[in-house]
Order: sequence, then structure tokens, then C-alpha cells
Amino acid sequence: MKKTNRLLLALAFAVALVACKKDYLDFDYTDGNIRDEADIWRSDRNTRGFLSNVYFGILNRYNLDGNGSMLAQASDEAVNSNLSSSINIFNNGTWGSLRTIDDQYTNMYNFLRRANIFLENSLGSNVTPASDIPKLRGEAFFLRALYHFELMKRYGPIVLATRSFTLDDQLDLPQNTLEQVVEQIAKDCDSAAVALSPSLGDLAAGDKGRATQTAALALKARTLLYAASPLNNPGGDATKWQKAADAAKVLIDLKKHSLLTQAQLPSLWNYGSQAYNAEVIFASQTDNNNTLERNNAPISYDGALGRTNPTQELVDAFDMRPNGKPITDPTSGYNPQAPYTDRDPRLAMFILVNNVTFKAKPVEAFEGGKDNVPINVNNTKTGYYLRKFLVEGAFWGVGTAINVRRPWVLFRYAEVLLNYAEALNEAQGPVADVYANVNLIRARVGMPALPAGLTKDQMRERIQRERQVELCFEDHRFFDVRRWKKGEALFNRPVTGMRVTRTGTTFSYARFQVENRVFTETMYRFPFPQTELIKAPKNLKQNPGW
Amino acid sequence: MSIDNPDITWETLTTLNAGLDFKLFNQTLSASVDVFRGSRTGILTASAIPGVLGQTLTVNAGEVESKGLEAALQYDRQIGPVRVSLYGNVTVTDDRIRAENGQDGLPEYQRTIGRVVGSRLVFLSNGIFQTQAEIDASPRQILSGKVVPGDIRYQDVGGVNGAPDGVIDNLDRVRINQSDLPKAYFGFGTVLAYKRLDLTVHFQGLRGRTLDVQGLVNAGPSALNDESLRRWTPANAATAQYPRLGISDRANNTAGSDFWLVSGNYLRLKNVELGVSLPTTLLGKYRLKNARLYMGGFNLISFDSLGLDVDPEIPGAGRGSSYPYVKTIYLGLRTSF
Repeated sequence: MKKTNRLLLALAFAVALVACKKDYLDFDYTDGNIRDEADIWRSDRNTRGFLSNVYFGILNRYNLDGNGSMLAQASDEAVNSNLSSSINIFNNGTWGSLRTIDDQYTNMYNFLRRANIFLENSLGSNVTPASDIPKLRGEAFFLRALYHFELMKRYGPIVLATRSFTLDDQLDLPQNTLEQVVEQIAKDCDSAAVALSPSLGDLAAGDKGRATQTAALALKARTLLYAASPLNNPGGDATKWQKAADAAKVLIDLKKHSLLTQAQLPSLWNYGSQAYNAEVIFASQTDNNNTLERNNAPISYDGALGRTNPTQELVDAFDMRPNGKPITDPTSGYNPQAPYTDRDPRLAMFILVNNVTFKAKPVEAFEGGKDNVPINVNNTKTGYYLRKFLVEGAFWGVGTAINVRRPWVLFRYAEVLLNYAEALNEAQGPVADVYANVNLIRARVGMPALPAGLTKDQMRERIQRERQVELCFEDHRFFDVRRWKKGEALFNRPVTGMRVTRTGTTFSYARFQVENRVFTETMYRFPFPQTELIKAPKNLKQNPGW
Repeated sequence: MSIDNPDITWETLTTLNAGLDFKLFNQTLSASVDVFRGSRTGILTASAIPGVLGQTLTVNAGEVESKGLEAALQYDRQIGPVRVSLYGNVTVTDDRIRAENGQDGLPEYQRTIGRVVGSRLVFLSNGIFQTQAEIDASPRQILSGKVVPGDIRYQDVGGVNGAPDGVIDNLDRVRINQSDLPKAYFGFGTVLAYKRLDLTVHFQGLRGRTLDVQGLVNAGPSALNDESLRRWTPANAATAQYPRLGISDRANNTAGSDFWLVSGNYLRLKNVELGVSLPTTLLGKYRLKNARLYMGGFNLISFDSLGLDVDPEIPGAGRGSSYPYVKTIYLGLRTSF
């Protein structure tokens, strides 16, 4: 009897448990706790968090290999002071599908997948207020466009990932044509632009790193510029240039951005003093560190590594300040024995030449100087060191480190003006608007306006040099020279440096060859990694020549 | 939001085993022989799904076939006052990869399939360049920015079109059946006793192993260490054992190649001990039941062909932060009351 009672009691308790389950054992999974995929979209916080994860694919380009390499060292802008640097794979002819570098292939598809999953699920998500959803989706559209662009600028025709693939899909997909890729990127930029806040200035303090309308427009303008360039537009279709010009003009006409002043320009990348300044259109997450300074300052500065050594080719691209003439012009007033006098003020802002002051002491790049010690493996290979991006306040020596808050700036207004001028010149010739926009950039550093009466070809040369100077070290030259189809002319030749000799208090200067560089027709595009070709044997076609 | 692989499971081990234990000659010789043959299937390996998926998956697709033999032999006999005991044992294995993802598009000479587990993908070297003329006459080596006399010369094995193409690049790496996993382990020794004296000797060793000594030769600040004296210089060009020393742009000479592979076989006198049991007449005085005085040592002698002053049992020791096995000599007295 007693036993039966106990059994009954246990049974009753079990029934009660089952009855109560719904009330007491069911957690509220809608916020914070994730049980399965669907729970992400039931939660405001997790949906937003998912989007934040999509941002992690943005590439920060200050330090590609953890040892101070930058893409500038793979163009005629600079040499890496570490001769063993992997960046030299680009320069010495050892590049290939089995020896890849800066290959973002699987990395970008990883983030494209995340962007697509967000776009597929966010419409039905519990974001509060729901009116935020279009804006968040706009950010995802922008990021999807950006990641496709990162692939396109390296590989050219790629497989578009406009949905999240599953294992049931046939994944050995044929590449889309370049036109389709460009069209998709432009379309995603448009979808982003209509939904997003106009510019960084319109974002709340905590949202400053997010994509904006101008970011989407800048990406679209750059993509169309790449699409119109000789590499991708061998027929020279002028309407493509016009489209590129129009896209840039839309951004300019919004009047949301402006150029910093000459005094502000050096700290454009320093968010400690110029956070989210008017020239920045879109930048990566900020880091607080002094790695950039430590990697690139001259070697006598607390054991800095002097990694990015600008070339003489880049230094020579800076025009003469009084008359705006290139130094190759016999009437420019260039004096080979006072080569840094009366030059474009940006030379001093971007490059450390011998005897300029950096961190309150002169840079001694002359032979025998503290910053020219050949037995130090980190010694400058060209006679120059990097100045752009560097903040003098940073400190990495013995004692308390002083860090700098700094993003990698992906898009800035000066580039948009140059994109516009270049595209417009190609579409319509050197019309007034071309002059006006290039001159804006020159005027802000006190450079004379371009001379009137330039031909279209002359204007093209000037714009290309203006880009080389203004956007140096910003990951542009490597791709610009490729899209201009000038690789054989500019990258397949030795890079040079400047040997400075001190006699008493005077310096004398002699150019010297630093190293040979190899560029073949194949290298206009990146090789698809061999590992990927193996996985997609039917449809993924290696780029020509690799 | 990763795609998972719900079918993932344990790998399957199948083994066929045959053993024989026997004693002969009035039980003085005992032996045990064991042969096995087996396979492991469904080993976890990366999937071969194209990168456009945006993630990688792990699948049960690897397969390894093993066969081998284990044998032990022991001989015990009393010959007059001498008691003799001899023993030896050996394990021989051969493990080969039968399936692995990611091999399909590779040239046959680079595939792991059919080759031993731990096979190496290396360049085949052909000595050291002595003159610039030799370099000019050879296939172009593009493993580093510069190639100068004193650098390792490599063989042109393949190219994009399958044939040697005059360029030494990753397509010239060849997968070779040389692994740092030994093919055979063995040990042997003896225990001898004569009246109050006893002697124990134990050897151990292994065969069928190659070691990559590149890291050992290039260890140290700027790759400087004792071995640097044996590096190529114009003065010792004819006799140099290793390529020139470089502090930068030296990828040509640090690339994985058979230049750096040496036999890792060794035989080591692991332990030797001589003991004497003291007579009870002597012990009675000290109220001891028995006592044994002994001396011996561990790791006293090793035979190897590494050509480097390293412990063949722990080849990395002594260069980094790990210690080699110490050579021990001991003297002891064991008593009981």
C-alpha cells in the first residue's frame, strides 16, 4: 500500500513537471542565449552582433605579414628593408599559384558568406526598432560589395557569391564575367546607398565606423573607375569612363566631405587628434598601437625597423613647389645637389629624407649617419624612410609606450576627386571640371594650379602623377599601375635610391640602383591559388599566364 | 552559422593479426612473433569543397594501410658457473596513405597517396653552386631574390605543362618516402652472471628514419652557431658541407630539400651495469642480510650518422630550450636488513 502511494506520488510529480515545462523550463532565448541558428534572428542584440562580425573582413593594410610589409613595397613606391620579406614574392619573379601572397580568396568568401546570411535572415529578425533593419541591411550590402571588390581587383573575373551556398549546391561554379562582377558591386552599392546615413558626420558617436551612403558611393565610383581602365576596358569604351565620372560626381555633389587643410593633412590617419575627420569617407576599425611607427621609423629611433623605404622613383614624382613643374622639366629649377629644396610640400609630409627633423632630431640618412648603418639588417635600402601615417608622439622605447589610435583609411575624399578627374578626362578630355578637381588637391598644399592648355594625354600623365603623390603608400599604386596597363613600363625595371654623402656640413647626392624588379604580362592579375583550382577543376579558370 | 558535418564519425580501425609463441631447446630459447595488417579508414581530413562556400569542412575521407611485424627472442642458459641471458626485440611497420582529400589536381610526384605516412615534399638538391657560370647554365631558381655561388642547386623536375620548364618553383618539389617516423625500432641486450658478479647490457635503436637538420644548422642568432664553420665560403668552396651563410634573403637555402635530410638511424648503449653481491660472511658483522655493490651508466655511447653534435634520440635538444638525455654514470650500494 505504502509502495503504491509512493509510486502514485512520483507519477503525479512527473505529470506536474510535464505540465509545468512550458512555464518553468523554457528559457527566453530571444536575447543573449543562442540555442540554434534561428535564435540569432530572434534577438535584437545578436542580429546586430552578427552584422558586426561581417565587418571583420575589412582589411587593415599597415602590416601585411606581421613584420611591417605594406603593398607599397610591391610597387615602385618603396622597398622593404627586410630583404627576406615575403612581400618580395611580388617583386622578384617568384610569384605563382603555388606561391601566393596577399591572397584573400578564401578569406573574402568567408566574409561574403556572413554578409549573405545576414541579408537572407535580417528581414524577419527581431531588430528593435524594426525601422533600423533597412540601414543594417544597407551595411551588409556595402560590405558584400567591398569584399567582391577586394576579389575583383586582385583576380578580375571571379565567382560572385550573392547568396549563402550550401553543400547541396554545385560549388565548382564558372566565374562571372568582369562586367557581371562590376554590375553586381554597383548594384549592391546602390542598395546600400539608399538605406544608409549620408556620411560619418551623420552617425552617432558609437556608430562612427559603420558604412555610410558616401562610403557606398565611393566604392561604386572606384569600382567603375577600375572597370573603365585599360586593363578591364581594352576597347577603350568611353561610356564606361563617363559612368565612373558620374558616380564620383554624385558623391562630390552631396557636399558631405571636404579636404583637410595642409596643416591637418599629416594627421588625417591619426584619430587621436582628427577622429573621423571630414576627409575620411570610410575606414577600418581603429587600433591603439605604435606598431606602425616601430616598424617604419628610421633605425636610430629606439630600435625601429625602418621597413618601408620610399624609392627615388616616388621622390622624383613630387613637383617643384614654386612653378608646379615636374623635376624632369629643365626650367623647373630642380637642383640635383639640393634635391629636396622647393619641392611639393607633400614630400616632407610623406617621406623622411636626409636631415629633416623627426621626433625632435634630424634624420641621419647620409653615409655614416645614425640612420644609415649598413651592417644593421633593417637599414634603409634607398636612403629614405616612411613619414606618412607616422605620428611623432608615439613612443616604443624603454618606458611607458605611447600608442596612437588609428584606422586604415579605405576611402578618402581626395581619392574621389582624383577618380572623378581621371574618368572625366578620359570621357571628355581636359575640361574645366578636370582642372578644378585636380587643382583642389594641389591647392590645399599650396601647389600651383595645373598649366592651362594640357592635352588629354598630358592631363592623364598629370593626374597619374598626382595620384602617385597624393595617395602614396595607401595601397593604390600597386593596383593603379595595373589597371593603367603600365606594369611592364613602371614595375619591370630596377628601383633606385639616393646615396647622401656628408662633407663638413654640406651634403652631396648620388642616385644608385637598389634592386631589380620583375613584372611580366601575367602579373596584371593575381594567380588563383593552386589549392582552389584543384577543388574546382571544371570551372575555375586560372588567369592567363599563371 | 557554419555548415556542420552531421555525418562526422570515428575512424574505423581494422586489424588482422597472427601471432606465434614458442619455446625450443629444452625451453632455453623462447620466441614470439606477431604479424599484423590493417587499415584505418574514415580519418578526418579537410574537405575538397571549393573556397566559394566561404568555410571549410572536415570529413571522414582519409585512409591509411598498415602492415608490420613484432618479434621478440629470448635465450636463457646456465653454462657451468655462468648464467647467460640474451634477448632482442624488433618492431617493423609500414604505413601508407590510401586516400586523402586535396590530392587530385597535384602532379603524381607530389601526391601523398601511396606514399608513407609523414612523407616529405622537398626539392631535390644537386650540391652547391660554385661559380656564377654554373648558376647561369642552370634552371632559374626563384625561391629567393638572389642566387649566388654558395647556394644550393636544385633539380628541375616539373613545370606547368608537366615537363621541366627551366624554372625551379614549387612544381619541382617531390614527395619522397622519407619520414621522421622510423620504420623499425629495436632493442637487444644481455644479462650475464658469474658467481657473485653480474653484468647487464642494453642497446636500443631505430632504423628507417630521416631527419631534417636545416633547423639545426640554421639555429642561433642570424643562423650563427658552431655549424657556421662548415658553411660555404670562397676559401673552403671544395670542402664546405653547408651552403653559404646569409642573414637575409636566404629562402633558397632554407627551403625544404633533401639537402638537409640525413639518416636518423642510431644505435645507443642505453644502459650497462656491473654488480657484485658481497659475501654474507662479510655482511654478518654489520647485521646486513645482503648487499650488492654496482656501477653503471646510461646513454654512454651512441652511434649515428647525423654529423652533428646532437642527441639522436631527441634531435632538437641542445639547440632550443629542450635538453638532451644526459649521460649518467652511477655507483651504488643496495642493502637490506
